[in-house]
Amino acid sequence: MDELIKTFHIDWRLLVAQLVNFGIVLFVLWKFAVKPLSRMMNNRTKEIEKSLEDAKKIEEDLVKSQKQREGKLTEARKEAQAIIQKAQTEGNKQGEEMVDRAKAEVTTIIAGAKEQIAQEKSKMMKEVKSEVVNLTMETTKKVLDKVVSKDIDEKFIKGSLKDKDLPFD
Amino acid sequence: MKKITIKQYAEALYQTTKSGSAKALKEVLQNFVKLLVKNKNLKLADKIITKFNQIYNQHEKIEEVEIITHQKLSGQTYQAISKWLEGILKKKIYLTKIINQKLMGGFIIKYQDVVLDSSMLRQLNNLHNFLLK
Repeated sequence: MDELIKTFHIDWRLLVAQLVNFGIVLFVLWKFAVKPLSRMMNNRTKEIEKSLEDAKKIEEDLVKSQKQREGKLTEARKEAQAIIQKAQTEGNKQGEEMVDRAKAEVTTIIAGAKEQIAQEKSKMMKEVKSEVVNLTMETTKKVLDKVVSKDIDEKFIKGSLKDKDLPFD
Repeated sequence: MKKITIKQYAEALYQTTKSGSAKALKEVLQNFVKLLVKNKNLKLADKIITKFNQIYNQHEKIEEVEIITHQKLSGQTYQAISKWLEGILKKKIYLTKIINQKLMGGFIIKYQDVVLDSSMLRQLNNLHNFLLK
């Protein structure tokens, strides 16, 4: 051992001093460099991990919302399709109803016009008939007024007396 | 005193006049007028006379008939009409003759509430109505 110390010229005091120095340097390095760095690294690691988690979560949310959006889109398409189909059906139905109504109105108008024409014709015929009859009556009265003498009147009266169906009012 | 009705006056007048002479009739009428004055019923005289006529016609079986013609007819024709009516009504007929030139011919007979229209105007109107149907 002594030989070894001599060979390498080891000075115990210097070695102890160097060890103390090393210890102090090590302590300082640990206290002011390694520990803060380590803490900072840990924090950074945690932040990165959190960021990664968040990113993953965001991605998952994105996928989820994408699916939801697609689902909603599909549902909206179905609803839109149903609405369009319903609208088309109702449109067709309304169209048919309008056509039927229009046909009925046309039929009614034609019937009314026919009836009106018939009434006007009937009225006109009555008026013509009335005119003819009135004219005939007036002419007959004028002729009778001139033709009926006292003799004819008395013969008419005596003839009436033989009539058993004289009109009593 | 009980009030005397128009019918009672008329009936009494008929009963007192129906079998009397002309002189007696005059006296009866004078007494009747006095009675009306006494009873303060003179204002009923017109109604009593009308009722008297009805009662008289009823008892004597007389029918007052209005005959309306276009022109005045001969007595023979009026007589024929009276005879014809007597045959129907079984009464004596008293004709009141009325002229209405609108009739154009024929006659209208009215008695009580009966109207017998055999005028040419009526027949023309019937024909007119028939033609317009």
